[in-house]
Amino acid sequence: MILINDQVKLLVEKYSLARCARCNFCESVCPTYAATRRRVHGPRGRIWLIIYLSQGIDVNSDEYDGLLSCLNCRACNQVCPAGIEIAEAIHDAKVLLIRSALK
Amino acid sequence: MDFEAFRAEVKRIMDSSKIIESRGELMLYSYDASPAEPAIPRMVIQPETTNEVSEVIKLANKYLIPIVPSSGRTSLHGGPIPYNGAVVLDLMRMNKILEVNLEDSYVHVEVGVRLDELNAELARYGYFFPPDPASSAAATVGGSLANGAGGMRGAKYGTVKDWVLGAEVVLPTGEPVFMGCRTLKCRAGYDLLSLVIGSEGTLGVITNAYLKIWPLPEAIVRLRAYFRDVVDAARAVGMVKAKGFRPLIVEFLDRGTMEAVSGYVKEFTYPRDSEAMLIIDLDGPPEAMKRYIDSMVNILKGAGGYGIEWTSDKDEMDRIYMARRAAYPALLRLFSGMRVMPEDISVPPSRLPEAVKGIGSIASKYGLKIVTWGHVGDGNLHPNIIYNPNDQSSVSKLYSVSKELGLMAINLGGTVSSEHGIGVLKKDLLTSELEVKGIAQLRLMKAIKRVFDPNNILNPGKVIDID
Ligand SMILES: Cc1cc2nc3c(=O)[nH]c(=O)nc-3n(C[C@H](O)[C@H](O)[C@H](O)COP(=O)(O)OP(=O)(O)OC[C@H]3O[C@@H](n4cnc5c(N)ncnc54)[C@H](O)[C@@H]3O)c2cc1C
Ligand code: SF4
Ligand code: SF4
Repeated sequence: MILINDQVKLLVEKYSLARCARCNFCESVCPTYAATRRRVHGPRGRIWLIIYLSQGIDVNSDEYDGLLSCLNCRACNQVCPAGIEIAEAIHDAKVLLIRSALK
Repeated sequence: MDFEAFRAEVKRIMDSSKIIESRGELMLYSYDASPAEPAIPRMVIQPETTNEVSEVIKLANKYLIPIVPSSGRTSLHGGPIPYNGAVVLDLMRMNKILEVNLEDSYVHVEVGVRLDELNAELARYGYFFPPDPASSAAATVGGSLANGAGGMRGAKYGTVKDWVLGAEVVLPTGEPVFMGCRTLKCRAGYDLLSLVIGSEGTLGVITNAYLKIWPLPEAIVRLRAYFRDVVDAARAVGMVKAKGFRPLIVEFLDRGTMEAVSGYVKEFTYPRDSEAMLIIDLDGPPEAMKRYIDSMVNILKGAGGYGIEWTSDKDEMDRIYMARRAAYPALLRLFSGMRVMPEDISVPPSRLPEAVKGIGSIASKYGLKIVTWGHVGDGNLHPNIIYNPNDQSSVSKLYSVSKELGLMAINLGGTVSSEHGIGVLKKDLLTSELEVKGIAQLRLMKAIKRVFDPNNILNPGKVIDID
């Protein structure tokens, strides 16, 4: 199952995800990362999975689970020095993922 | 190197939930916060105990598999990047605070605890762990000990090396040992612990540590002053120290920093004729504060400071500090499409004026913008280089600028890395510094690495090359 690349590319542009400085401040406030200690379940990991998807890199179903497990609590947005709307970007990626699964 | 045999044995001893092999997730371990070339690990292992770390490293040593310790991955010089098909050892699951012991003045902590989490716990007892890298929200105890991290409070409290009593360390051969002591004094032979601290995961994997703790300051007062000349600001720092003050922090912000912050935070204004700003925190007993402030205001004025303000009110202190806190976000937001490389050099505080001027000349020479702040109480400057990651010439200028900054620091009697470490990006600069200080030391460092790690499996190619 692969997300439609072009749409993910638009998403990466819409939220300017390339601004991510990889500082990891977001991971320290993320409840799903705290519960799992798996980076696919943390904001920095999710943002980079989306970037990798937009580059056409194949992502497997476990990694998709990482996107789906986001609680949209927005704790990450508050601490991101680059001002990325992380939760919203993940939410939009989820929508693309679910739509493509339903097709 | 027999990766398949290693993999099979790891799978026998580790639960599958602690092993990561899918490509997308492995890629999340390909970078740190630096511009260093990314590299994807072959496997990530997430141990939970010293014993698991030890067993995995024994296997890596047996099958000659390069293995890279990894924590918050906030490094700025490529230290945790797994080159040459290395396996990553992700220590973030070792995240318990094991004991706070006020009588013996230590906290015993596992390495995956972040510094802010540690300090939140210690604050409940009225204590703190002083080293405070700006990344303390995300940086862990293990990564900070391995990187020799420091921060704003460095001038008064030093760096992590001054605050670690003892640590459990798994050697590159897989043997777990306890280095140092639990007591404040410790003369148990050669000081191996000091070799491991700051070794960037090349000499051993730290799994838990006894850290010294300190009572929180009774009272803090914050002062701010502007200066028309950077030289005056640097002179003020020298005068403050010469008068016997040891401020908790002395933060320097150059004009570029103030400009950036004012473009990002509407409420922040600064006098247009100022070239530098100092933020100084003094701590001590509440009764002494008035005397301290009077004396400090005199010193700052005497050095040409103006717009001097001081407060001990929490909100007002936050307002003054906003200029510093907002500096990094301001750079990330204002220069869209660009990246920020926070450089890290130290010079003797008396040479700060020359260093700041030098940074300006290097910026003009290469046409890259550099915005500088720093913990100038100890001569530590962070020139932040703004570059375009998608433009090869901008990236190569970045590396030239980094190199020239390092060489300038050496020439001024300073060092190429104060707290961020060497990783892969500063190996050449380290050699340049050792050429000045005695190149025989490079031979000793290589020999030490070989003694600790005869098969060169632990974070190979970082800090120094042994071949
Ligand atoms: C925005 C920003 C600001 C920063 N400001 C500062 C600052 O003010 N001062 C400062 O000192 N640094 C600063 N840094 C650099 C970095 O954050 C620190 O050095 C930090 O302490 C690294 O911790 P970490 O947990 O992220 O370690 P990592 O990046 O995961 O690892 C650091 C190094 O140690 C090794 N390592 C990790 N864990 C262990 C272990 N348990 N045992 C042995 N080796 C290990 C790794 O292989 C790597 O070489 C900053 C970084 C960023 C992004
Ligand atoms: S919004 Fe999602 S990614 Fe962000 S902190 Fe909450 S759970 Fe984590
Ligand atoms: S806090 Fe923002 S800039 Fe930092 S890693 Fe997370 S998304 Fe990237």
